[in-house]
Amino acid sequence: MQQSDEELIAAVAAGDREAFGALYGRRRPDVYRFALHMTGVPATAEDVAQDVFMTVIHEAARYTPGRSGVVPWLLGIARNHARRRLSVRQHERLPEGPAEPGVIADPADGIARGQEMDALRRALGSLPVAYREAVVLCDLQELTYQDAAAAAGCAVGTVRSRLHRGRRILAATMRGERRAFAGWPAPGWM
Amino acid sequence: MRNTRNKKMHEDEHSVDDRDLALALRRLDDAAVVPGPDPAREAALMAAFDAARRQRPSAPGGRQYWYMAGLAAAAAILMVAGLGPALTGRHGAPPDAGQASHGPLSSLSRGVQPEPQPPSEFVMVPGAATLPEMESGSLVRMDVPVAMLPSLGLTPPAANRTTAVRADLIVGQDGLPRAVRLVN
Repeated sequence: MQQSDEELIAAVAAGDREAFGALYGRRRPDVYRFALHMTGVPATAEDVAQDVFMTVIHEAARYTPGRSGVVPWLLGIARNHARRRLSVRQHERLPEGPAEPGVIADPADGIARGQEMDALRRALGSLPVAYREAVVLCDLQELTYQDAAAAAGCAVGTVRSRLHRGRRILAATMRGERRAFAGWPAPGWM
Repeated sequence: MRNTRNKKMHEDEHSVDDRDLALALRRLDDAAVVPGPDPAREAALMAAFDAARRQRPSAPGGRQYWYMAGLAAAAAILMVAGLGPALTGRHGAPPDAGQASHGPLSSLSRGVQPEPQPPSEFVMVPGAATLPEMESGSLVRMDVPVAMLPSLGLTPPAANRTTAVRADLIVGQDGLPRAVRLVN
């Protein structure tokens, strides 16, 4: 029978090597995707995922079952590492569009759709970090408000308001993009 | 009427926005490719895990745990015994009351000779690093048997021939001591 995340964390804290390997294999994709959406750079996402599991090695005993799920706990760690890396490269431009090797557009959707997806990625990347976190945690990672609040280290109401504002900014940005793409044949955003 | 229509159009636009945005974000997430784990990174992590496991101090054994628990219980009893009369008010002030200023700790050390030397630095009690993080705690002054000092990470004073020494203990929310210092 497969061990739960909580059981794996407890085993990791007790020094179980196999449990650590299992947790890494199971949850690395979640951490990586979160980091990718937050930073926009696959190599940085890899680094953040590595940092997260390095932290888990030393801090697994600090996980408190019942306070939050394991995934929100991991994403909370990822958030801190991603923020640190974002602050280091805050003056760098976010990568643009098709040159991004870790995120691919569906070729069947055509060039216009690909362009708009790139626009959405850029819009997400240009959101203030706190709003971006809320959007990524709730809309992309599909965490509940409670879990997102646990990961972001804030109150549920704060997550909701950040999410609302983040969505509004994204929507406004994309409306502008849509107007810019008015000459393209693709309907809607995607 | 126009305002109502404008408001309705605005709400419709937001509703469409939300729906489109949710769809778009889902597509964006679906398009994110998660590469397989890099063997070099995975190996580095496992090596770090092994290194951490080797460096990790062994968890306090049963004997040490019960010893620390006993010490904590003794500290608690001492606290109650020391504070009890003051809380119930059945006893008058001690004879030296008013002669010296009493801090929070001095009420615990009634009837004990004044400290001629400044206290030493706090040192972590062996095994305290493996205990849960201290969220709250209290400072307890008590007489510790000299024989117990090595297990608290302290060296018994060579010149002191008494059987007990005065010490301050930082006791965590779980009643287990985290750090100790000698008072004299």
